[in-house]
Amino acid sequence: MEKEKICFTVNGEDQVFEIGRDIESDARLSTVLREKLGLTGVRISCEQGACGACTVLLDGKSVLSCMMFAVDADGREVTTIEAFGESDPVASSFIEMAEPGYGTAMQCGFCTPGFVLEAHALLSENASPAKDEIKEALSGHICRCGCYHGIIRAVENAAEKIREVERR
Amino acid sequence: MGALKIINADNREHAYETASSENVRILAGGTDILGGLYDHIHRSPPDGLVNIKTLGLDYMREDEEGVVIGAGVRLSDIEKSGLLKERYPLLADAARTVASPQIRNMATVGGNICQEPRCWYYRHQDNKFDCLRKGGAVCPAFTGNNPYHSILGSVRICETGCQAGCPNETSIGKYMEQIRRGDIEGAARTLFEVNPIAAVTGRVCPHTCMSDCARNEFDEAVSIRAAERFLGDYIMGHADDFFTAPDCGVGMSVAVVGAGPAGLTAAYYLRLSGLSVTVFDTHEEAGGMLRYSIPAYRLPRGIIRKTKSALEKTGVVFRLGADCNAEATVADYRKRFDAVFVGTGAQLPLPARIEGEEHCLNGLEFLYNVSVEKQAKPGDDVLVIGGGDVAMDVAVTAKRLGAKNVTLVYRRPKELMPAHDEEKEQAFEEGVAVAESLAPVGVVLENGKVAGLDVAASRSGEGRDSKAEIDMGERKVLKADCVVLAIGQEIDGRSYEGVLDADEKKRIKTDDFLSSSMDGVYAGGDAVLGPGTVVWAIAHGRRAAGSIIEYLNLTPTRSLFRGESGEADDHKTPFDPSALSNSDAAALRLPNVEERALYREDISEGLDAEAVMREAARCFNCGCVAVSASDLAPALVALSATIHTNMRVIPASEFFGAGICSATNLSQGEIVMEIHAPAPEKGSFMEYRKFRPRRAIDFPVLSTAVYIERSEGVVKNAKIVLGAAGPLPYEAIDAAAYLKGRKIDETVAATAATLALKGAVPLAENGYKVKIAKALVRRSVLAAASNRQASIDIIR
Amino acid sequence: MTKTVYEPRVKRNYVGAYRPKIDAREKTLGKVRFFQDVTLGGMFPNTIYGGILQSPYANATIVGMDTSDAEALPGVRAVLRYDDPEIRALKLTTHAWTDTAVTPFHRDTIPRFFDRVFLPGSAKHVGDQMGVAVAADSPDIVHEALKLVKIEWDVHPVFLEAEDAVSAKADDLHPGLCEEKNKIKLHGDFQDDVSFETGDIEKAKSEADVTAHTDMVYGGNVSHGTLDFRGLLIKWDSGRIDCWTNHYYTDQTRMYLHEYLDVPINRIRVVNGHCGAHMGKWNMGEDGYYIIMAFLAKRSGRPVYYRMDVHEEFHDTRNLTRFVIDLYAKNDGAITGMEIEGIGTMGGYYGPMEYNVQFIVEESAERIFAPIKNLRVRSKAYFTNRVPGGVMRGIGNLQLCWPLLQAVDIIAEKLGIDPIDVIKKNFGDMWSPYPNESLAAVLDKGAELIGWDRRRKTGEGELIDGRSKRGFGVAVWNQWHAEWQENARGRIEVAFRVNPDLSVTLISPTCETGAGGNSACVFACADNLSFLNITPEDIHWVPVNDSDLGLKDCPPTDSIVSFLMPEAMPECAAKVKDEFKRRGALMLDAEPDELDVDDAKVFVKSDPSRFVTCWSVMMDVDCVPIYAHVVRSNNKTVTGLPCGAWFAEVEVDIETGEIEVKHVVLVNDVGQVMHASGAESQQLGAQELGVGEALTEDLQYDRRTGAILNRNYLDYKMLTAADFPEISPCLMEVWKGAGKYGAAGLAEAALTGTPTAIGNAVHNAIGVRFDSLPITPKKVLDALEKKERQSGKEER
Repeated sequence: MEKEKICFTVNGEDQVFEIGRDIESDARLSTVLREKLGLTGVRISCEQGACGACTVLLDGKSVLSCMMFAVDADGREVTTIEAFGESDPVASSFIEMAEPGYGTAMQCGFCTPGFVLEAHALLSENASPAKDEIKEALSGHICRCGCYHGIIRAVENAAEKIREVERR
Repeated sequence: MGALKIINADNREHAYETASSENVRILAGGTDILGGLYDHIHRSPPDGLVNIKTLGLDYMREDEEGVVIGAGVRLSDIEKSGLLKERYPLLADAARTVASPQIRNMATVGGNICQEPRCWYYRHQDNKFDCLRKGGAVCPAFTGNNPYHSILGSVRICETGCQAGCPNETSIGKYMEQIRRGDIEGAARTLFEVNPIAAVTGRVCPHTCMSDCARNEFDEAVSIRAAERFLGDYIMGHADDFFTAPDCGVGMSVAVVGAGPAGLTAAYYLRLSGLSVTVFDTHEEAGGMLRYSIPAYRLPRGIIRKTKSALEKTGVVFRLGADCNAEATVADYRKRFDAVFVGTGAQLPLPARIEGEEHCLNGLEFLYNVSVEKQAKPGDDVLVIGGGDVAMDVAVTAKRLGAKNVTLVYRRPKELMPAHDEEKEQAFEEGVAVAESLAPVGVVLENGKVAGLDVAASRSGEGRDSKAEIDMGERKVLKADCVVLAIGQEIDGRSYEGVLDADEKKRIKTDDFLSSSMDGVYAGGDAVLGPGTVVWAIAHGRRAAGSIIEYLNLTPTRSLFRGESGEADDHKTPFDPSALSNSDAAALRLPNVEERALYREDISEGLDAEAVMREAARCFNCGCVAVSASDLAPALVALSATIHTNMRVIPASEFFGAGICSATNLSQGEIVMEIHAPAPEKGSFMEYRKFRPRRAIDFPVLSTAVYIERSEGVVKNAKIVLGAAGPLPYEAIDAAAYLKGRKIDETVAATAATLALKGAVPLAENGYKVKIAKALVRRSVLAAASNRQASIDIIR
Repeated sequence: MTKTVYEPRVKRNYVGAYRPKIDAREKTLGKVRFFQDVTLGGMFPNTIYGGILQSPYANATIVGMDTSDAEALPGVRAVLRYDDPEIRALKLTTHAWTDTAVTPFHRDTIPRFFDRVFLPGSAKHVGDQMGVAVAADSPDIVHEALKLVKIEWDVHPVFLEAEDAVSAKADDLHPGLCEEKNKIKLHGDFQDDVSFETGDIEKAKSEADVTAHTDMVYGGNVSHGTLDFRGLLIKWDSGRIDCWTNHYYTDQTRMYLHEYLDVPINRIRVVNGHCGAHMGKWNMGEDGYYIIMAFLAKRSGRPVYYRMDVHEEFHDTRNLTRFVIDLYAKNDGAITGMEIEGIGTMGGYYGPMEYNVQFIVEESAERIFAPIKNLRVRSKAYFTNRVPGGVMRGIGNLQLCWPLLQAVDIIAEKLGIDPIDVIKKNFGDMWSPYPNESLAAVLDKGAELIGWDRRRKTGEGELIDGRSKRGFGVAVWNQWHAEWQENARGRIEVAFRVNPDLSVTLISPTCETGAGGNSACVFACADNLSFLNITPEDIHWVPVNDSDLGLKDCPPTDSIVSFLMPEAMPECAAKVKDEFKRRGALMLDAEPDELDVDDAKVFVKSDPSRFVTCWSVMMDVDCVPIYAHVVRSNNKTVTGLPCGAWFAEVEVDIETGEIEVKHVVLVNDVGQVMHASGAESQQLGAQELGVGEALTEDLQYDRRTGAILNRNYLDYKMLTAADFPEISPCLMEVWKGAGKYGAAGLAEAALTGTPTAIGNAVHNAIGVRFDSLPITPKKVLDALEKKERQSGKEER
């Protein structure tokens, strides 16, 4: 049967949408997050699963919100960049990244939310990833400004921060 | 253009029902479908999607036979599964190389092996190229930009352009391949299966198939006519081996009324199935318009006579001329025979209704008299009224009879004359003039003899069939001592008037199976279609014979039914690599004008065998060269996995196929439920290698899945499968067989690699892929020797 | 891989530091609002969506159009046809609109060719925005409506190469602009295409001991590939225009709207703010869709939102330039003469190709190879049916560096001299003393970082694990956009506003597209206001450019905003200090010039103990903030240019043709580093294009239809984190420009030498040079095979 109503949590808050009234049956998850909930940290670009700008977490795993229907998020937990503040270990590592030889973790910032979320997904599964593992985990995101060295370094720093917090 | 409906499947049956309706697609991870929807790549978007994620197919378990993986399991779960990484690393590694982490978290293993073909013509936005893989006519990649395409040849997807362009659906691609292999006998048999008089069509058929040939846009169409003529002549040369009597009679008889192309064709197929066949024709000889209308310089009489005697040898009886009762009607025949085929053609001249018509010769009679050599030079200033093929034949024949000036009078501009271009060019070449946009009013007589033709100017609307207004004010007289009317033919319906339903032009009304209004009476050719081409008559003769055989509930010979192409089972469409470079078509040139005679065939010599093979080598054997880009596909084939759908169990080696918009052999609505991989031998080696431009996101340019069982360093069993090398995952059987029983070393690995790529047929731009494939196979086989798994951190 | 830490020549508080960007927080947390976010849901309740037909043909004219079905489609609000009188009345425009200064229509800062028609009736390349535009309630309705427009096309033959542009079957695309068919009339009258000649080239040629010849192509197959697609939202009612866009220059957009819509400048408001990376796509040009969307807004009376999709975003490419270079040199490595011919293959319209084939060579003769005295330069360019060339980061410099530095490599190899020494001997600018100090510094430093001593003679490196060969390559180029070169940029406006709480609002208006000019401005502002103990955290940079409120913004070309605006800050800070002194004087009962300000106190110079705190000055009377505004013209003193050096170490797999870039070293002398982390990020980030264009980025045209086959981000392959090589960036300050800081541009220069260094490295590895980019595995394998065949032939 066709679903009339879907509900899923976004950054901890329950959201309910009626198909046909609030959203179209074939609405993309990215469209609902951006246009219904104003979460503009979810960015739209290639619309083919090749750039990663629309990445969000679905039950803690990174997915491309523009390549899935909103109905497929029913009953699940969506996390966007708006869930994190500057004190978050991953976000703060991206913000502070200025180490000699690594540049910064972003330049224009269009793709940065996607990378931060992917880093969270990686670190929740692998607390101290090797450099090649970080590269592979981030390989679904394009940064045309080319800030990969800064980003990878920021993820390494974030892993260090999280390990430190857990040690204490 | 409303929103797409997404229906969650309640259970397997509901999923199957919903997915079976025509334009509904299955939604699993959705990453392949959504890319296509955004870009509108299909001819039309699906009406709805059935979501099968609700079927709970995301389980994985191991039993004693091996591992069972639900179709809904995500690629990331396969990549990270401890069980698979440890016991089935081939699957885990292959899954790990797919696209990107996000896609692997969404895409399912069922979806991965069912993904659509990967080709940038196929996937261009708004279906710009509407290519062969979508049911279109041409594969633009074959001679276009193909660096990422197949190096293992192409596969048939649907009817090729030429076959679809032939009313008789001749499997031209198949017989061209047989010619290339030098199997002239086989090629002739393929053609003979659907066309018993190929020597005729090889000369006079307009060959619409050539206008649909994919080479037209590359350089020049394949000269199908020259090949057909060669095979037709071959058949004539071995008539007794081809026209064979049936093993036994079936005790029933059929009357064939009319010995034209339709009747002769029907007679052959009816006789072949054991019926006793009698052909009736009021003319002295068989052939109908082939004998009495088409000039001898285009179609030698010998061909028809030989065909008739060959048919007689098979037991067909001919009642011609005097011993054919001209007054007999179809009803009479139906009483005396179990079934009747009416192929009486359209031989009556159309009346012109102009003054003095009685002083004019009639085109068809003129050609008849010529065909029986009773026609002298008609005069020195001959006017031929008309613009069709008959008018051209009349005009050229008049010239060759010695008439000094022959002029065609046509009521529209010259370029709108309906005759085929070759006929027009030949007429003009031989000095025939054209008086265009003139309508005949009446014959002018001087002391009882024809002196001219009174004509009026006629302004025509666009196109041939719009009404032309005749301006009776603007008149002149064209000097002439003979006027021949060739404005069309009519059907001579005497044999069935008042017996069979027919329309106002006396065309017999038939259904798709060509049965007429009277039970047991079938009809075809010009009698049903009105004046048409020889190939339509043959197509009707064959189809009517099939209907009669069914009507008499006999078993039909295989080829009688429509479109049976009888391709090789894996529908591979091999082609000659030389087809990829530009070349001119073989041309059968007319001799120069002076040497052309009335009763000798203009083109006396067809192509010889070597020239025909060269021409056949130009044929693309149109197939699709997109590759199957699934990473799991070669891995599953290498592991001899089986795919369980809601209807059946399919071995992985037979699961992948090449249909319209599909890369599997699944039927509409069939859904993949589970994948079973047998437990590998202890100590077996298995490895997936993927070559792509980048280390992420990209589809494979080329990949290899290798599975090797060894004991004491000697190969016991091996499977080598190439991914993205061809339209289907390609199992290198010879290479694997070679490895069996050998100890692996550098030379053994290199030899296996060469064997694996033995069948490669690279296109213009992807020869490099052969080298890469060899390198990957060699490295994988060598890795088996040292048991060193490819460095999996980031798969090369 | 060693990371060098930049040592500033002049120690400053904040300028030149390693520290985070000022907007790192908002960007990381997704708070920054890009164009697609600001205009979410159309921004206004009644916003509708616009779209323009992308020509399906590469070369065709509309002969008939029926828009009735499109107009009848529910939700369609306006349809604009090519034959609309208001559109036809618009004057021509150009994509080389301005050289980044806001120049009215008639004032040329660079030679411009007005060749573009708004909504033309004929298409010059596939995807050409022409024929018809539609505004409707949703993007889907727009897409459907455009499909419902029935068009009758007259399709002409496609030609994509310069050689074909003059052939018979090619149309003359822009007769008015050409001296011969499709050969554009460049500015200046040349004999035999010679656009520039100096010294005695014939003498240099005759006396040469050794020569080098390269004939290489670069461009036409790479594009910006950025994620924030071009777009605008525009309202035009009651004589007022409001426009939100992600164009990187508000004043230029406003001037463009003013020129073509005939609306006074003060009644046009253009707003932009943060914008995704642009890689030069906005530079030099305005695009027709601004004007077309304005008319759709006017006709529908509603705000219209337009944003390109990923296919349209491939709107222009790097200019396709072919250089044929002949170098003449002596045995000691001195290059005595150079003949160079620039042949441009433009697309359907003029991009700034004149710069690419003519001015870049004349400029470079002054900027980088001044020591080569005898030159003859030929320049020509042709229109074709390709997508037009545009401006892309590094415009022209990459295309010239590619053939020139490989020719130098050939000379070095022939003479057995280290290429570094040949470069030092022949390169440097005309204004600095010879030999060039900056050039030597960057070359020596780079050689040290890459380990240049590990470089073997060509092709003789050992085979690494049986299949790969290692190679090292070098390239140099000048940095550019030093202050004296920025006359055309127009005046720079900067304003400080010191608020009552001594916090500062900094207005240095530019569109932040990632180049980081805003961070440098904040650090410079803090440095210049040090007398108030201001730190960067006390400064708020205004991110929004609103042409109604703000000052004239400065386009962030080549990260020059990072020093051009800071150069205006000393004067602005002085004005602030004067105002403090003026107010302080009232409170201290002294004359302003007796006072000074430091450590946030206004004090009497002769008796510092008599002081009043700046805070109290602000709180005195009515807390009026201090506002200082400066308009500065750039300092025109010519100070020569600094240099950059690129080194690459590669491994080439000779079995699969795959190139792995092991290490890239780039050393850039920038005169003054404004923000070390930002500068190094530019150096590192530039390799996304530098290495990407060298190895994987490759737009492919379907030769038959002229359509680009991979106009999407799946098949146009940009490097991911998994592909990015190891990079050692190194900043130097050897050269110095005029002004307090004396910096030069870095962003564009940072990628100029990378592809060439990789090209030289690949040659050093396998002894094969490639005349076009990218160097794909296919090209490597085909080249190695050809080399084998040739060496095989020589042996026989």
